[in-house]
Amino acid sequence: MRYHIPLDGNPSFDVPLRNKYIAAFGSACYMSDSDPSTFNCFYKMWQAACADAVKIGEVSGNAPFDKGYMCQPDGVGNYTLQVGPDVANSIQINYQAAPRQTPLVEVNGMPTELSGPYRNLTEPPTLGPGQPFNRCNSGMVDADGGSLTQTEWILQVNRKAHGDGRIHSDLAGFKWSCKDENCKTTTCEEPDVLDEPDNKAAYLDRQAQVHHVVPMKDKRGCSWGTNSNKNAAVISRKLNRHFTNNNPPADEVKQLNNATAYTP
Amino acid sequence: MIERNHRFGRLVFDRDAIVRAALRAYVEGIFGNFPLKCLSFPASAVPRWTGDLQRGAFCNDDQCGAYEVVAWTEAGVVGLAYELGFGPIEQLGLSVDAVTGGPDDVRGALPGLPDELEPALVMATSMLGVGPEHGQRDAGVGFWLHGDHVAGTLFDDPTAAGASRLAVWGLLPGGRLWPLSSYFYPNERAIVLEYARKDAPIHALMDAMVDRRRRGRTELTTDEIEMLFPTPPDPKHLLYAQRALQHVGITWPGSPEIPEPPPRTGRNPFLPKS
Repeated sequence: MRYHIPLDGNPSFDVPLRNKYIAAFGSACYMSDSDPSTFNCFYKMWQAACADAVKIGEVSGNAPFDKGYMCQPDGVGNYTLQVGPDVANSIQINYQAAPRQTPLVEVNGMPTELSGPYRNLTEPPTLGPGQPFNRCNSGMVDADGGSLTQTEWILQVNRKAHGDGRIHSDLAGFKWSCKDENCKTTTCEEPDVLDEPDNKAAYLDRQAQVHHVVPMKDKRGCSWGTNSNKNAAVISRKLNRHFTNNNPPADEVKQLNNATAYTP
Repeated sequence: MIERNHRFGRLVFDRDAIVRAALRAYVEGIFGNFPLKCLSFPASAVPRWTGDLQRGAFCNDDQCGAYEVVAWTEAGVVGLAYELGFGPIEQLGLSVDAVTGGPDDVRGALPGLPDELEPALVMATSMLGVGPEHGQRDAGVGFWLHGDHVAGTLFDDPTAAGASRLAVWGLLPGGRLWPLSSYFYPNERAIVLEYARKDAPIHALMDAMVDRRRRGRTELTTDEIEMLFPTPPDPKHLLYAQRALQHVGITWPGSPEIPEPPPRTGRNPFLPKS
């Protein structure tokens, strides 16, 4: 459940208007996973919803809303915000179920489904948005009959694929803006070989992690990316921290979709 | 010890039980994960430890970007947790200008923290990840336990991202931390319990080892080593385990001193070759 603000216009179809809302309200606004996909803005906190709601008029290019009014609770969890001199001139901020954000990523202007290098691995028995990879059961067992978690299985497949028993980054060569030891902005590049994720890694930032390409939770804390093997990539801890739970960059999706699929 | 009702159940927080469970999860993580893999479903995917049983900290990293840290002194416990995207800036209202890179970054998760727990906060903070853009210490939710008082955003904001990672420290059946998903997904719990039954002798060994260590520094026995390693492991992997256990005061028969690995040298692997 999240607080929904009523947008002016039709940003679900009007792309320039949609971009204006995104520029003004940021990650609160998104296209839904529903059919048809709709564009809306949802907030975890009513205060943040009210702070943005008062700007809807000017952001949409319509008459600006009157400022200076406070959101008023309606007693059943929703809020009302007066936006003009007449008390009837108000908007409703409803506390309601928020649809899942679309997991499609815009690549060259096209909404693109992620299908990363682990796409050929059998999916785990339990699959869904917001689920971690390290849930217990991958459905696979190791050579000794012990059960493998999904992260263990993915790392095992990665180690075997390269023939040297080491973990290789699925985004080797990926470049991003980062800071060096002196806090100066520079360009970081993902190394090819990563450290084992044990507690004695030589370089903590280079430890291998299993990354949700479409993040497990969106900016509102709602379930988003799934624990499908298609949504997995093995990358360094440092790059995983850089991606955090932002929208996946198109370059990342292109590189992973173009990568050769691992075979179990 | 104190009990609190929470959306995750009836939580019981006990300083000594938390320290024992942390030590056990650490040991279980060493033996249960790659490369040794002596048991299935260890509670911690990447366990890290600092200090000792009087004053120390344990970090339970999930290998995908989330973690929690529990740190203790004689006075009590501080717990802090992080999920990707839900650190102090996003979840505790810390402004970018106020980032210090130290304990103050995450103090907002611990309202009313008693002065006596300040050293525990410092230890816990030292194990937190550092934000790549602003240099903040990353945790978005916390609790503190001091005598019969427990508080923190774990209780004030029970739906905060990372809260489940901390709540389980008040749910330690059998004196153990269990894999996180087994607390919340019945089908996963059934699988974990099934494998725990299969691994019962190893788990009994872990309990015995941990309880001996709580009474003082201890050695593994030759019988225990035979049970853990029916076939001798790769010497490199064995050395890793010896080092990791020595770190918590558990040694091999004869207590040989295992030297620490040489310090990391060389260039930052993420920066371009100059």
